[in-house]
Amino acid sequence: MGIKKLQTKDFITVGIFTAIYFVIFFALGMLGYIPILFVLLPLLLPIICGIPFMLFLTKVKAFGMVTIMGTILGALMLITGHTFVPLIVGFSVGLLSDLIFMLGNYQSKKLSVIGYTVFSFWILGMLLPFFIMKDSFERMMLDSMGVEYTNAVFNLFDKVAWTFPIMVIIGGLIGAFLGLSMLKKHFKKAGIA
Amino acid sequence: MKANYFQFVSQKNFVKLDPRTKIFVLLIINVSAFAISEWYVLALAATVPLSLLILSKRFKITIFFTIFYAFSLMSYVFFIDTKFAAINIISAMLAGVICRMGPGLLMGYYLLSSTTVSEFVASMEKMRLPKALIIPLSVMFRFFPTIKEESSSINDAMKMRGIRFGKSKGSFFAILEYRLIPLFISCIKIGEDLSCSALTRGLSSPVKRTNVCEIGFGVIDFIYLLFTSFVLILFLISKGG
Repeated sequence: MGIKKLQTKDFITVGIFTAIYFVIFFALGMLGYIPILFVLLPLLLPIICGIPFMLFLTKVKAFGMVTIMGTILGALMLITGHTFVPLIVGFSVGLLSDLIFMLGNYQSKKLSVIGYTVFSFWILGMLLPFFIMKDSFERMMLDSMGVEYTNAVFNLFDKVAWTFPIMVIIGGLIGAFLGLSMLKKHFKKAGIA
Repeated sequence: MKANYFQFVSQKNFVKLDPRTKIFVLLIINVSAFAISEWYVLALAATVPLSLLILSKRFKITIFFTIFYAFSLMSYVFFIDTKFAAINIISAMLAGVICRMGPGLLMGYYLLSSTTVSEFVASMEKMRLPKALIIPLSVMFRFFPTIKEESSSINDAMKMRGIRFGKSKGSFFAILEYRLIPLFISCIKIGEDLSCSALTRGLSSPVKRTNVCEIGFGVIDFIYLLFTSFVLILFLISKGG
């Protein structure tokens, strides 16, 4: 399995799928403003985003495309007002899942499920600052969102924080299988996948 | 309003700002507006895209947004300390969504509607970014409005067939499937066309590309860079003190 060089066409494909992924991601992320749904996001996001990602994987033939996607998603998060942490996490997680996909020569279904689950961990990159700088975050939210909201979030947060990685894994697996079944059901028939 | 984002033809109505300035301003506005505490920083952050839109003669959207934003900012300032839980949560959500996202969204709108694809690519090349990032980024920004257009057409089609949330039979996920799958398929078809046309124009050639766009910093750029830096400093001071 030789490493193929990326063509311009591949870059364009990355752009298109990153756009689709980000739009869906952002629309779902809006639900996070409702306090209770906020904690369910790590479960919901990978499930729905699995469909475009699995479709993206059918177009990926060379090393680097998933890495670029992760990096751009992280950069978009930086531009839309998160910290620099998602950028680093996005890049490293993208690289890791890219390596996993490469093991299966970008064909193996099993490895694509695992790889997608790994890729989904970039969502936690946005939550990571919560753990690292919890105090300053609490103060910031107290100022900007009001006492009630902050208490609602942080009470919930303390109780459920340990479930986030588990939710990402479950969501990633469900999303990957959902994506694969959608590929079978629709896209193969349409001659796209 | 017809979508006019990321056009190929340069628009005369817009004040010329360097795309790099726009991206920097967008970044600063989002950083200071997302994590904000003080209302005056929010108001200052909102004035940047508003003034840019006035300079570009987009009066309708400016007036609309100013009134809207002033209202939500007021509710943010006055209700945030209320002891009533219900009012507090509602106002925090309203203020949270509008005050924090508003300036950034407006600036994003300005960035996309006033920049052409070639200008964007030219300025990215001046920043010495690798091709692996420039092409996906520019394709992506070009694609956001397309996705929106396609999804609204699909929405219309599905409405005609009576498939909509709450009114038709079928589960939530089935309805979601009817919306998302056609969207992906049409987006991919468009994407294939896009990459064909880009390749015919020689995007893949190894030669260094030239560009007719005039990219460079002018007086207005410096004013806005100074102003946003001022907003950033104010933001940092209000955080630290």
